[in-house]
Order: sequence, then structure tokens, then C-alpha cells
Amino acid sequence: MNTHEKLAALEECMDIEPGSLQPDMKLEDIEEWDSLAALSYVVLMGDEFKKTVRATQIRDFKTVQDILDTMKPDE
Amino acid sequence: MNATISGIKIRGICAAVPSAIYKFEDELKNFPFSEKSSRRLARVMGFNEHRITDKGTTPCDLASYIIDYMEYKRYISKKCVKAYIVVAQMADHPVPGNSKVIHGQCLFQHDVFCLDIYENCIGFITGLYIASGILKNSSFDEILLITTDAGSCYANKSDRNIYPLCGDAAAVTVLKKTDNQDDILHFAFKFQGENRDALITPAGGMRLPHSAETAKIFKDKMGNFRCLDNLHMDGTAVFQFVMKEVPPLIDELCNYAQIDKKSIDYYLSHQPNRFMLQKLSQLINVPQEKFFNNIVEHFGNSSCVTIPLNIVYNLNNIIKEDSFSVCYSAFGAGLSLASCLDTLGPLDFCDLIEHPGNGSTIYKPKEV
Repeated sequence: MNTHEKLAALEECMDIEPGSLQPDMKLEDIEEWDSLAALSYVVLMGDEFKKTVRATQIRDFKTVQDILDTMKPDE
Repeated sequence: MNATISGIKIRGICAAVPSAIYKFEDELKNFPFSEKSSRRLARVMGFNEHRITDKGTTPCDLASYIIDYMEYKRYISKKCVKAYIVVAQMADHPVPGNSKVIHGQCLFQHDVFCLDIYENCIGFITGLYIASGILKNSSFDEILLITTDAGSCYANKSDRNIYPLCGDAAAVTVLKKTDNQDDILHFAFKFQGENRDALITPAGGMRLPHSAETAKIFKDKMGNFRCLDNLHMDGTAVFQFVMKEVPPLIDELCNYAQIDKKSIDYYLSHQPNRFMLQKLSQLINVPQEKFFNNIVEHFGNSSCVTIPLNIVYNLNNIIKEDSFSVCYSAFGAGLSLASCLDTLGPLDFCDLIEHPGNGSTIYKPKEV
């Protein structure tokens, strides 16, 4: 996935208009970043990257970029 | 842990839900989130309506009402009941246990055996295991497995993480001895006590007794308002636990029982929310018509009652005439996992009734 595709996948998790997310946006300013969006992200990570995300990791995310950084297979 | 008990069969099941219906649409305003966000959650999780008892109705009232209905229908005779166990996470009183309250309400004979089991979401399968074990090693021919819960009592109405999915219900499952050694129940249980914080009511027990402090409402990291007396769930952790642990548990149980997974007609799972059940059925690789996920949207999650409620709601049209290979599965607080393979049916009875409220323990048939 390139950055554009990752952003599109996150927009789908949050159920918001395509193109509305930018990497530097703060998550606390995005109303749609809620528990359901977080769960959708967890499912995405399992399906696409075979990665298990811990709840504490999600709580530490500050910006969209923080999430994008996790969206890759394990090294 | 695996176990097998043979010569035991479910004879019938009756379940009751409170007649009062609460709609998610009306509860939206109580949650500290936008309506749009709450509606989206409801759409995905399957929150629509749920059944909650009035303040005057307890877990024991629900159970005793069903038993009175079963006597009225002549499914059982109260004076012939020799043994029953009661599984619940809520109690009418700290002392004595629910089974003694029900004994008094139903005016059962003094000459019976009754037992209380505190258990959460896996309670139906735990109860089935223990009731079967007792019946197998006793001189009487039947035992009642009573599962009852008023789990929503724990929940705070503004906690969107828990409240919309709660539901109250009770069920009475009658187990009988048979001469047929092919009537076999295979069980599997697993526990992860080290992860118990993922689904916990922190206060109200000996570790942190209820106090003014534990009743103080605070806003948690996910934006929900709750207090330490409320049930709290780390939804992400519980979701991952279920996705990771349930499919292999069922595979291992099928291997142990030497039963081909493909020969299972129905997967009768505990019902936490539709989203989790859809994902789980995909992982187990069974079509949704074999894996029902519609209990939360109609009744809410009633903990140890969801599996019998699932049976009486989804199979009542066919289960009195036919028998099916079924796999019960449940998961929840503990964290706990349980599964059981059974050949269910034909049942003598399989009824769903409504409890009228006000603590009623006497069934009154509607006048025609």
C-alpha cells in the first residue's frame, strides 16, 4: 500500500469522505476517530498486514501519521 | 481442558425476556458522542432494541416465572424436580444464593439438590458441563439448568461502550438421562486470567469495596462516562482475544471429539454484538445461515442466557421435529472460552415468553 491507499483505507475505517484525511492532522480534532474506527483499524491491520495491535498502542496515537507508520508488515 | 459426558440429552428449553423494549434510537441522546457516530456504531454492531427488567424484577424472578410457565404447560412438575443449578453473575442477595431464593419462590420440595454457580458469558456451557456431570452420577433422571441474568444492572446509561448491548433474560434448560450412548456432549474450556482486566467491574467486591469514591463518574480515555462500579470493557482487546482464540478452540474440540467440522449444522454462539460474530463466522469459515448473529439486535446481550435464547429464537420452528449437530461456543470475562459439541433435538418444547415485570413469579395466561 502506498500512502494514498493507506489514507483511503483509514478514511473507510472512519466512514468519512475520501480525500479528507491528511497525515499531519491531529486525531483529537477528528470526531470520526472513535472506538468503532479504532476497531475497524484493528481488523484492517489483521487482514492486510497480519499484525495484532494492542489497545495501548492505539491510545498513544496522536496524529494520522502515527497510524500510517504502523501500516506495514512486520520487518 | 476437554471432557466428554455421554447418555445425557437436552429435553427442552424455555426462555423469557422482559416485555419492556428499549430502542437504541431513543438512547442516542444519553451518549457523549455525536448522533452520527452513535448511529454508525449501531449499524455495525447491530444495536437496535434490547430488553431490560424493571427495578422490581430480579434474575430469580425471571427464572421462577419461567418455571411456573413450564408447570402450567406441563413441561415439568415442580414437585418432581430433584435437582437444579442456577448460573448467574447477578444475585438477588449477597446471602443466600439465587438457588435458595428460587427454591422458596417455586415452592420446590425440601428433598432436592440445588447449587449456585457464579459465571459470566460462558455460563451456559459451564452449567451444561456441571449439570450433566451431576446428573450422570445421580439416581434421578432429570436436572434443570437455570441461566439468568440482569447484566444491564451493571451498566451506566451514558456509557456507550457497554449499555446499548446489555439485555436481560433467563432460560431453563431441562437435561435428561438417556440409554443411548450416542447422546454425547464434548466440552472444551480455556482461561486467560492474566488478561482479566480487559472485561471487569473494578469495584464492589472485596478488592475494592463499593464507596462514594467508586461511584464517582469520570470520563475515560475513549470519551465514555463511567465509574469504577460499572462494568468496563476494553473492546479492542476482547475482540482480538475472540478472533485469535475461538477458531482454534473449535478446531481442537472437533479433533478431540473426532467430529468433522463440516458436519456441524449450526454454530450457536454467545451473542456479544453482530460485528464480532460476522468476523468470527468468517474466520471459522461457515456461512451466516449456520451461525446466527441476530440476538443482540432484538434482545441485547444477556451473558449466560444468549445461547439458549439463540436456540429458542432461531431454531424453534425446526428443533421440535428434527435433530442437528451443533457447536455451542462462548467467550467473555475471565478472560474465558468454552465450546461444546452436541446433537440437539428433537426437543419436547422450545418456547420464548415475555416476563410482564413487577417481580412476577406466577405465570398468568393471557385471556383469549
